[in-house]
Amino acid sequence: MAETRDHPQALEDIRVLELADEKGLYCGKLLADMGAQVIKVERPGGDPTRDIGPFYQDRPHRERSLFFWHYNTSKQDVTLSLETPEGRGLFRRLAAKTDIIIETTLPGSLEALGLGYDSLAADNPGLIMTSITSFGPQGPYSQYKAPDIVGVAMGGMMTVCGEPETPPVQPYGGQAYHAVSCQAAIGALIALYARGLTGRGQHVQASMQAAVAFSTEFTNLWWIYQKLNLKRHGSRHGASGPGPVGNICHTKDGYICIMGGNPPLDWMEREGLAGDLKGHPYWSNPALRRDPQVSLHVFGLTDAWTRTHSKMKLFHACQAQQINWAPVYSLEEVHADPHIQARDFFVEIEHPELGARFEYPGAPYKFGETPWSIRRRAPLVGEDNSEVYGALGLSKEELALLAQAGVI
Amino acid sequence: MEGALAGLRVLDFTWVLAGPSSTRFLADHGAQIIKVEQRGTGDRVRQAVLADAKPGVNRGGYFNCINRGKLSITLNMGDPRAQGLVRRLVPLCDIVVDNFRPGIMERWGLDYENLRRLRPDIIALSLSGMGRTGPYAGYGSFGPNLQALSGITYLTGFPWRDPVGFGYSYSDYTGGWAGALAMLQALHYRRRTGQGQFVDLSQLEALLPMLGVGLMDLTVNGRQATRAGNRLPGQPAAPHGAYRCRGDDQWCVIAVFTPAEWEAFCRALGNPPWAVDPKFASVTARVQHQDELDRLVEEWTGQRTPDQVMEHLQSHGVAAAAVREAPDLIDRDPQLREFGFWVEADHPELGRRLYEGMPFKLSETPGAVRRGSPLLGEHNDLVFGELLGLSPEEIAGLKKAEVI
Repeated sequence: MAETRDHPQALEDIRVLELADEKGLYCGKLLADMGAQVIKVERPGGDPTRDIGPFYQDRPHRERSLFFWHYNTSKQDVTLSLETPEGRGLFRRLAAKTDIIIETTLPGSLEALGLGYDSLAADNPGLIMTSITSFGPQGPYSQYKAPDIVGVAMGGMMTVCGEPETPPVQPYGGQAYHAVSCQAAIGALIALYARGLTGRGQHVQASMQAAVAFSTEFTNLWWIYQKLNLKRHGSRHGASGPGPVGNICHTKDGYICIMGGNPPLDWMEREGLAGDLKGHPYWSNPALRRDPQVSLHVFGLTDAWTRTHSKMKLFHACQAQQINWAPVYSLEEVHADPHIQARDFFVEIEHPELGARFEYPGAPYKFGETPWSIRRRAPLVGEDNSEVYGALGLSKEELALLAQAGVI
Repeated sequence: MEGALAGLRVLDFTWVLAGPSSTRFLADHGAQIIKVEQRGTGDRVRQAVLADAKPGVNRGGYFNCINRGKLSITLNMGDPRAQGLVRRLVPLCDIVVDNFRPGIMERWGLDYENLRRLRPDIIALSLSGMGRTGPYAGYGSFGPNLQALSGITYLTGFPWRDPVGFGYSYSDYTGGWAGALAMLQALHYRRRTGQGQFVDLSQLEALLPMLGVGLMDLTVNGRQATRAGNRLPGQPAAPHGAYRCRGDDQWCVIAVFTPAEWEAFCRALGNPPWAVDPKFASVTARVQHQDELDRLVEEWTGQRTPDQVMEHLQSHGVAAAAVREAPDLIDRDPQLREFGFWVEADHPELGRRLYEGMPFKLSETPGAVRRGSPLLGEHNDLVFGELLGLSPEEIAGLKKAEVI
């Protein structure tokens, strides 16, 4: 499938080889959508990540996984079996022409195949190998299985998500995967910057557990500085320390997040619902904010009032008074939101073989000169075998033989 | 060699978390981050999580964690003389980053067009909550508000409870990652072409792709995602969740996806009689009877500590883990220790302290927490004197006039 590129892109001179499961797919997408030529290496027949739902029209199929679609935009795709000596030879030849490898294999397994960093860098000293592991390259847990829920549990994110009355809760959407993918990409780009000065690549080793532990804001700090073990406390923010009330109030039609500003007391009073909140010492005495009884009282009155309004009315009217409240949106509301629409966040991407265009989540940043863009939809299994292996000098006949032998 | 980014200089107007967490990556790898703080008060989080609970602008554990290795200068930005000093600093910097709402940098004459006049290849990153354009561009935001707007709050929690979301500002991190990526990618482009550029980063938009699968289920299939607690939408798995363990509010997680994992799980539990019940025979059957299955699993986990569950199940090839709490991670976790995650560094007022170290390792340029966070205005003399070349008398005059 042809690519579309009508403007320069920041990483268009960079070649990436991606050998990744869920932990590394977003890392590859980040680089691909900024212009890097990312060649995804899948096992013959396709990777297991193609079996993750939901699926287009709910019909499970390796070319219909919305999970796979989302995380593999702008990438090229080859199939390759690293179990075969021919496959390993091809991988080595691809790696010789690669700037960055993103790989998520179990520690030690690439080395066992003769494809570890030292071996590949011997042929390509500029190579930046980005190894994304669950727990780091060695250590007691390094061979553990770690889907996202293990990552958020072991990094300390999950202990502070949820309510005391319920089990700890896994945040929606695979956030341990995102944490390590983003930070691995940062590591790879730092190595790329260094390579610009020295000409030499290096081995970047990211740990999902460490990436999560680096991203939990208050919990580690309360323990380091005050020996306070902050655990899940509902929607309350970690800055406040433990306490009984959160940041989410009910509205007529859902919920509003009330972090970032005292309630509009004049407005509440006009509607006869301010109770004793005007002039209450709670607003001026920080100690009272940790008093369970007082904070429950204040929160209760606030919630009783927000229940009488819609979340959008509260949102806009409070923002007009510099009170930074915001509605708790469903994804449908996100998609319909006028601000998100006005900034053209969602982008339409063509799937020619389905004769359809679909809306994708768009750019995490808007670059003035080198815009983010999805150059094409996620690749089909082995879609670019001819082009990529052809560029290595393999003929159609050779490729057919390799396919029959289960190498590609 | 020194840090990978040695020689790179960033003028950093950001405060609180999103912006500072993005420049933290650069500071750890050797970039010189000149943090511009409002004279007098400084970054508003300077007194969050006070060390040993003693007050002081230089005693905040939170600020210390996020701003280690940076320099601090103070400026009264409302004063035109302060703005003039910044205009003299800009040509010496590679990147200018802010996380103000639209309008503030313009008011100081520091919008991209002006910055570019001062240094043609400048990279300017605006890391605001909602972005520079659009109807909410002027709206204020904190992490939890952006999380609410993104849908992640609505979708995190149990279906029979109100939404709960995160217990902290996760979107400040996701915005910070995107900010670091933006700066590094713009640097790569500048190296190749000599051109700088402006980047408009909306923290909300940096977070939204992390709900991408749910958003596509909506745009492609028209399905509205709902809260599912610890169960996985779109990917059948059971058991999958958090289970109570022995001890006071102790928890583990277990995730079983494939038939082989289910068999291994049953073996690990000593093949209890219920494991062969037809209602648990396939993953679809188990998903259907998840509540009952979870109760049976919890009977088993309840007699064990989280670490016992993890070690035992993982030795059988089943994904399981302890729900680590901060004291576990900092004082005990052998794996983070093996990774060398926790490191010590010196702070001029707080002394030697423990820090979250590198979340990723670079083999040749490993990065380091070189020192703790700067005292408020600690580097005024260095930056205005050595870098800008002001005389000690000029600096004293600016201090007296409350400009710096």
